[in-house]
Amino acid sequence: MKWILLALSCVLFSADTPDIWVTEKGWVRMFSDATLEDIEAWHRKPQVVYRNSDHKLIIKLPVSQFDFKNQTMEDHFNEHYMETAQFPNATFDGTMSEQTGGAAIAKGNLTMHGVTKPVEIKGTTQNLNGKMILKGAFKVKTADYGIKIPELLFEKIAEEIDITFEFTLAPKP
Amino acid sequence: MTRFILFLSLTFTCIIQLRAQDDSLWSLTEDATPLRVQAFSGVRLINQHTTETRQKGMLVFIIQHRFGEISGGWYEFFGLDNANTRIGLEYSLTNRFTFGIGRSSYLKVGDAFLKYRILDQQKGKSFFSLAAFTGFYHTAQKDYPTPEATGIRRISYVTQLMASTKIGRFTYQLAPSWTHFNYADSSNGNDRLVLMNAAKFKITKRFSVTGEYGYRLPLMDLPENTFNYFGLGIEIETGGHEFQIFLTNTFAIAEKDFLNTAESNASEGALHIGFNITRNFQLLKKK
Repeated sequence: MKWILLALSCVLFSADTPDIWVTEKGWVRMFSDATLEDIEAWHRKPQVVYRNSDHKLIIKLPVSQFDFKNQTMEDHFNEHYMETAQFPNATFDGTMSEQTGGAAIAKGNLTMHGVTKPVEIKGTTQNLNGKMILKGAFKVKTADYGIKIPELLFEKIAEEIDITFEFTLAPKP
Repeated sequence: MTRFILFLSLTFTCIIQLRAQDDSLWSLTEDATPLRVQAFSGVRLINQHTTETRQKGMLVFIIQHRFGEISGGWYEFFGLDNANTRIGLEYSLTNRFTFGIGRSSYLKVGDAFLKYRILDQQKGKSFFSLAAFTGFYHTAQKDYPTPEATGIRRISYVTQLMASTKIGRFTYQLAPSWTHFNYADSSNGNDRLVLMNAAKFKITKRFSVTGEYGYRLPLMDLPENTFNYFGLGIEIETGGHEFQIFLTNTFAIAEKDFLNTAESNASEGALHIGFNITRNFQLLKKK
């Protein structure tokens, strides 16, 4: 009887908290100081999937969807820096563990420009009206991912890029 | 014992379910449509327009400079004493449609053109890009080519269909060109056809070698002392500009002139150093 109850509660419980969560909306902002003009780009179609049962978290950003204020910058970003035709996506593949007080750490592999590196991203999680909201910020060193920045004075770009993000996840329908 | 088996089987089903799910998370994501292939970085290669146009709201300021003949030696400072300059402005009304105006000092040619990008090279969709160009030219040089050429006779037109394809680092463009001169010598005819070839090879991300060659179809007599046009050059890309420097066998910049009447004899060393500088300005903010 005890076992049956346990099994039943297990089934009920898993039906109660949805296992797979997907992005409803979100953004990723990329920012870098540059001598002439700051470089800022927004990605408004991030794809995030989170599985509650094993805390697996994956993120996919099609690089061509980064939006710059200036079309020339966007072309150069795709053509010269990220080589988007060859490496269409930037991805994160790892797990997310919740800490006390809404803090969370995502550990896993960040892949972009064809290079994979282990990363640890600190952020927060929050539950709001049945939605899961993930926020965070981290820095990316372009050299770590084999992204070469030309040594020309007038378009000098900081070697570290600031990334901030916010994802709103909803249970997979 | 039965309880134990039940427990075991339950655990195993759980594990199997987890395993089966593991790769399926990526299947919940999608890939973006592939970017269109940028066959060239500039809207021009040497003299020739490319299949590229700028995005909506972009203003391109272009300075084209052709020096005199290198064979002029020290006296002419290898041609640098003398120059033909075209100053041009091009504006993109839509992502596909551009119009422009310009003025060349050689023969005092004022020009205006329309350019439309018809088709884009895109992985899985099309292996080439297609664009159409039409230009109008007014030659203001006095008594050119003869005093009879007055009023509307000074107008000429060029129409081109450009097809380009980029394979790896290499880009090739073929542009059949039709020129109509309102005024022409009867033996040369008013209409001329040229098969314009242009190619670019990227040595590094920002450094390329370029070449152009126009084959004039011998439909009528070709004007005397003129040659098939060619140009050889390099291209350097930086932030908002392209810088192009080259050698050509013509002083002219206007399409109607360089396509049909390249006047310098390359076999006698009569070549011209030239350069283009373009600067792009985003007039309309994106969104």
